[in-house]
Amino acid sequence: MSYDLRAGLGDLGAAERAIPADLPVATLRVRARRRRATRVAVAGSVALATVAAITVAAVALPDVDAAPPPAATPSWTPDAAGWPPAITLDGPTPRCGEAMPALLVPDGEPVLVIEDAWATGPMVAGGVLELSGSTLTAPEDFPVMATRPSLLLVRDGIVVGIENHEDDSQSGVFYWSNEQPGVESGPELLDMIRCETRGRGPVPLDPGTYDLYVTQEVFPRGAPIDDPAGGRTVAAGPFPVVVERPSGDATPGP
Amino acid sequence: MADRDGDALAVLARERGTDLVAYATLLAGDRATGQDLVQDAIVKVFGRMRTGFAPDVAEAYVRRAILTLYIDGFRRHRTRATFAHLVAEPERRASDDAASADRIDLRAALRTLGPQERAVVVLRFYEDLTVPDIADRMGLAEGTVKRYLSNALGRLGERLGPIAEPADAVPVTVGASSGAARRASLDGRHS
Repeated sequence: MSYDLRAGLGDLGAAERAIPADLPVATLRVRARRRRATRVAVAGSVALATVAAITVAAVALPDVDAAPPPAATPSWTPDAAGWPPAITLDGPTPRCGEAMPALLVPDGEPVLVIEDAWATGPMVAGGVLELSGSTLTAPEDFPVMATRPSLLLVRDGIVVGIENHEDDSQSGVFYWSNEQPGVESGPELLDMIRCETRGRGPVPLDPGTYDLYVTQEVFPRGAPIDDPAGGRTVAAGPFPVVVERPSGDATPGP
Repeated sequence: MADRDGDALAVLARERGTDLVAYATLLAGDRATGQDLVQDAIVKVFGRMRTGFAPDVAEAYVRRAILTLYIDGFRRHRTRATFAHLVAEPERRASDDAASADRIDLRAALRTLGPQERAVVVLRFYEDLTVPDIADRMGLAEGTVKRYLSNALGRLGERLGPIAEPADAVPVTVGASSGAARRASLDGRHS
């Protein structure tokens, strides 16, 4: 007897459709509107640049000594180093066991930010953290490249858990999106480990609630990445992360 | 106050959200990722579209975006399959699945597929798309889609037994045939 794959998938689909989706419409509206604003700005700047290029070319034909057009004024106020307002760390990125620095939030609205919901599911003790993805959003006139997000699990102000990079060939890889000025990261599962053990030994992360912080080293696109002074550490958080008690463990959590 | 697209978004989420999440869940393999895919796809589509799109038109774009995000997510990051068995699943899943051994078997079999293979199976057998439509949707050559489909049916056949041919296709005997025979059969029937 052969298996009816169409019927089987139909059955699976029907089981899923029996559960209401309950999508967060208000949140989706805000995210879509914010994304649209960025994209409109990008499209507008591209169109303006095209028009400007044609205009400059036309003007340049009769008068090659004409002055160049003024540079476009950014929609954000740069800091002393020329960077857009960003949420950064008040100190170097902490290592295991070190205190988590405060986040420095600029006076105006930050435009270089990590956003798009680090929605996390429950995390099994000692195990895997599920992230929905993130977007490092940058102004359209300040394209960036960035490291992949780095995660810090913090309890009582101290970094107690980090991502396990031991077998992670992607660690430190730079990537960027050609589609928009920011850098987008898709859904992924990350192996988080307890600091004291560095993932070795039988001591998993304690059950309970942690604060998750996300950091990314950001550089202007095209800048040399071997000079840390040329970059910024952009941060986001805290996001609550619940580590679930392993099944069969009756020990009360903190 | 909701704008015009915001209203379309609300209508889409309310009236088609359940179907979209079901589709995304079949692609992704679990409900939480399916939910995330749908939300990211809606943001992507409504963050791009000009005003005036009806919800049914928007749905087509969202379905396409769900597929793209699903495939791209695997292209950019290490495979979810590495850790999928370690992720805590809601209690509901276990009780629901217990009600149907067939669903458990099919879910387990689908987990053995790569993302592209899984996508072509869902598009072919759940969405009822033709091979050319799948190729268009995934941005692949038809031959590549046939190869993914053949490989996928081969793997599924190992877990589930021979796969019955779709009503609109000539038999593709997977469980008992060789890969070459499967490919030949698919080449002739799924285009």
